[in-house]
Amino acid sequence: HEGLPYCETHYHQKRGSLCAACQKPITGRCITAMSKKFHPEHFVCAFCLKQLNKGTFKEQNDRPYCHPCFVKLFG
Amino acid sequence: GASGQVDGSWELKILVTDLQVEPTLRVNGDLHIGGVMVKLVESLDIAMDWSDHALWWPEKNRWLKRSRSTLDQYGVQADAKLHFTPMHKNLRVQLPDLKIMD
Repeated sequence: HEGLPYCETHYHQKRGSLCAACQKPITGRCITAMSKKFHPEHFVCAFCLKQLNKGTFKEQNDRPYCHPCFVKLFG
Repeated sequence: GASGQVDGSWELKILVTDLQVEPTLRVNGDLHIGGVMVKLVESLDIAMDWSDHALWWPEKNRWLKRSRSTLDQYGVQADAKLHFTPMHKNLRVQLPDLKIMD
């Protein structure tokens, strides 16, 4: 990265491609949401843990929710 | 004591029946029911599917299901004993042929 050697974790940290949920490098598909990056399987509803798709989630206090849980919690 | 806070907040104990723990939340009367559940789940910090859970008020024999209603609107005060519990539970039914099913 920029001509300097890094281990894998710090390379991804420099590039901003560590998963915000598990803090591990994202090498395959990546979801960018709420100004963070996630492994697709780690971008989940904060209440039911169901996997979310970018664009179909609702955000409240910096946490993502699926539509049914959002309705249940925030009406 | 702990209840004499100037910001009007007070302590609410909620029994989480699945885990048999009873965390204490600091709340205000204008906190809505959904907010109570979010606060509770955040305080537990356990990765678990809570989607079937809701707040049950045993003393009044009622679910607190209106997420937009506040603790004040439901009349919940610090002495209320609330449960956070699954809405779907096992039931044993005896049919007309006297067979029993779970």
